Amino acid sequence: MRFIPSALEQRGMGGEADMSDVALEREVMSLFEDLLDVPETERGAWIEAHTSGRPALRTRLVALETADRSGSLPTGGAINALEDAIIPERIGAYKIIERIGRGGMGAVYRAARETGDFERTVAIKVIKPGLFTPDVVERFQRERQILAALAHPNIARLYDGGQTEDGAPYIIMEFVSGQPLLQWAEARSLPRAERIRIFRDICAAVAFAHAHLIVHRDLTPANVLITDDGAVKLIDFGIAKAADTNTTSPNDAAVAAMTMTPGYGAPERLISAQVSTSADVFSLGRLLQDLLRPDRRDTELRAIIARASATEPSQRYASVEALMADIEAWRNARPVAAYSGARTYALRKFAARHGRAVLAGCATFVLLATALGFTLAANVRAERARLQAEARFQETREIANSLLFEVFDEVSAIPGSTSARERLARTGLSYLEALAQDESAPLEVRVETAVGFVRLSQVVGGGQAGELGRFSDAAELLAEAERIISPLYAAHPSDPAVARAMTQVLLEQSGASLYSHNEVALAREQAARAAQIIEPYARQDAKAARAYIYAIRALGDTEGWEENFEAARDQHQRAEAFAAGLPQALRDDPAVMGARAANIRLLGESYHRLGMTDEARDAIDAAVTYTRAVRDGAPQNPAFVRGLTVALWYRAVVHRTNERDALARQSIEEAMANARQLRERDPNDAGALRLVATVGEVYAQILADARRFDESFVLGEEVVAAQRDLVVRAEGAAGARRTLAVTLMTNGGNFYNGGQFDRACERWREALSIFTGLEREGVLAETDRTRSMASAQDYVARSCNPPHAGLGSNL
Amino acid sequence: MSQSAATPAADQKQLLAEHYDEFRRVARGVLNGDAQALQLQPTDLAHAAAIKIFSLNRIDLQGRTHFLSLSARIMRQILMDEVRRVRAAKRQAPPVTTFWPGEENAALDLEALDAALSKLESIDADRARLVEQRFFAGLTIEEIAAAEGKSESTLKRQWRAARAWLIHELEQR
Repeated sequence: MRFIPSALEQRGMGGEADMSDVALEREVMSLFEDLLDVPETERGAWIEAHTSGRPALRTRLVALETADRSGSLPTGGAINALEDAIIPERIGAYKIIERIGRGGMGAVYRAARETGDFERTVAIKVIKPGLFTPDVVERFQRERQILAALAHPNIARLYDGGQTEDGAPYIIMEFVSGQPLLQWAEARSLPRAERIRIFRDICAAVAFAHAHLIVHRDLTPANVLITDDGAVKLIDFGIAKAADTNTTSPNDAAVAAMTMTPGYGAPERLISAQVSTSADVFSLGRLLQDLLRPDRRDTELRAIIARASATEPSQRYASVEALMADIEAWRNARPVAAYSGARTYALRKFAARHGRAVLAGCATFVLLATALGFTLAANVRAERARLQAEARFQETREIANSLLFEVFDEVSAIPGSTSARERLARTGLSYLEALAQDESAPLEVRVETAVGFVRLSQVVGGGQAGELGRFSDAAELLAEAERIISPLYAAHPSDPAVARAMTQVLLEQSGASLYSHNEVALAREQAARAAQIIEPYARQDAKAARAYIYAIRALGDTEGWEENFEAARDQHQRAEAFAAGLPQALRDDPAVMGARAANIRLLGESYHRLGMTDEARDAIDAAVTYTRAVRDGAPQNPAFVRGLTVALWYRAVVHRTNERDALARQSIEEAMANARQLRERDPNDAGALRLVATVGEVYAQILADARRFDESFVLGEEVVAAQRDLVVRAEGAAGARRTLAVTLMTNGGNFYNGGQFDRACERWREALSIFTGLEREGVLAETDRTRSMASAQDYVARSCNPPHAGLGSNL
Repeated sequence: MSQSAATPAADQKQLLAEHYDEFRRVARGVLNGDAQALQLQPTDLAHAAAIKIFSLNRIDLQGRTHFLSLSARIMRQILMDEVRRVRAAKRQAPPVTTFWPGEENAALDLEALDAALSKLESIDADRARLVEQRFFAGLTIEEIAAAEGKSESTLKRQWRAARAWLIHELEQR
């Protein structure tokens, strides 16, 4: 075997056993293994019986048994040097009581300070002189303030630090009377639920520290103590980090301080001194492994551990919160993110938790509460983060990106998370902004900041799923994004990341211009630019393909908005042809499928408006099929539920006007149920409210078609109330008022058809006054002037003075 | 270069052999302080080398276990060679300490442990190998059981026997 060099044979020279020993030693170990199954009380007799007449064997077996009982390995020469060290009488203002530990780095003492009438007991860690370079000591002095401010019930407090007379740095911290985690757990044969409780406490403490921009960096079972009353205390927080950066004379220091804890340190620690929160996630994964010891059947738990302890940081959970959320999911039998099994896995999980909806709701709450807690804690520290920006640039950027992107995405997939997302986005963005202001900030940070503004605008008022409906705030955020990205794009037009960010900003602006501000020409211009910029990358990956489809779709939508349905159809066909021509892998990506389905829905709409009934029906059926497949992949994801609901809603529209068949009723009922569910899960989500209004409007018409007027009127009230609410949330934005007016027109029509002319006229008059107001402000679109406003004037004139059936028997 | 589960064990050994120098460079780099980390762990060394050579993530769990268990041996050799080299170059260099898995409160002299482990090897290669896999590759009993098709309870008993044997051996020194 080539790979084993001759050194292997040389190793152990002088330590080898002779042949007769070998046979004896083997027999001893094999006997010892059998002995382990014998109850304690019977061991004496068992040894007696199995070694009778062989005193050498008996001596060895007893020796092994004693060694096994003794519990710990002898510490060898490493400690001898310290053994002789004299215990100091005092350190600083503290009187030393006893030495409680020692290791390669130095010794730990229990000490007390007598100040007036109370005595404070502390632990003092004295680092061996010369182990730290002056740089490190100086750095530690700086970091000490942050560490000292880290106040959490599960983190041992750091009080102070200094240098002894002979130049040894010391650290004064909270004295914790407790046992190392694993020993404590083993000694009590702790049940699994308790172990999980302890692990969650550990995670929460680490997450808290991360929010304060402190990475533990050396989380091992020895650094997790359990106090006598069962509380977790993490010790040596941040000290490892303070201790090992900026070493200038590494050779002897490196060897001296090599205290190894196999398996707990993240691999990247060796390659780079830049250690992020991800290193702690790695160590937490290892801790979880040792604490729970999953067996082979615990496939999900093992997947969680594997993901937390992945070799590559990018493969790990993005944050401690994400790890905690997955553990919650596992405990509540919901699908675990780390476990990417087959579709049947999710179904199995669904079946397993059937009837446990309340618990699942709690789990969601826990994740959100954690995310929010993180955000709040992060906010408190934002100012500090700015001050430390230089030193902690990378760390801050990572936390910001994790909040803005990974955590944001994870939280987005959970129903009811709209306001949590806003806070996540705001916090992450505040970090990025601080970083981007730095003169030397790299290009990527500025790009990330621009995209961060887009994210925030989406949740503040993007008009789609999960948003707060504040259109003008959203518009300002988008303007800020544009102020950042435009000069970057001008300077680096061929940088792919810049081009992608520019596209995102333009697409978001185009949507806002069209849907929120009724500015069609501007929306078209923005969409056209987005399409042009992203086109060179459109076939490279799913995100770019999706952006391109959205850009072309947006072009089509601006045409449809002005009732140019032939032009709209052409654009939607163009987007569909592009999507259909993508490679299989891209075509099957949920992001691409979602965009494609949204485009097909609009293609169906333009066919429908052009009177191409069969094409419209086929397209809309395809949109339903696509969106249903995407939704089934993640049944709880609000954005996917929304996509399906919109497709169903439009299928009802098409079938209602073309055929009035049962499919219209069926589709609209499913759509309505989905929309109401989305609204109930997240009352803050203006997107869900808008969906209820849009779907409900058609549902009310379908009910009126069927002469079920009472139901139709009740639903109509719900729809109008939702639109009014949206106007309030949008602070009276023109787009929201226009939509309310159109809804009032339709709703008035239902009243008219049901013979309630008073209420019909009331609606129409209100619609007319809204249109008049928009016209006065100069924000009334031409099509609205010639169609909706004209209708309102006509209806009021012919049928409302006084209210009567002036428009015939049916509208 | 990528590595898949389908790669036979013999080929993995071959790959390791070809990259022996790479392992050494990693070990030497750490000990010489090219990397700034002060605290080093044998497992990390094996992982770091493996990242450089193969990108471990492309190996599935089974392949990864085999690979780490092979690299554990090499890392042990190289690490000990390097520790001796550094210590020889420096008079009165303090001993390199390490921890026994699960018993992190007591520091062990790495060289004494290595010597005891070598002696165990000459008595019982299987049990010594188990220590090596756990200690130098950070593999768990469960991972080793899965990779080698042995029962976990057998491995647990062997691990405990090896531990007791090593404790006794170190006490004799």
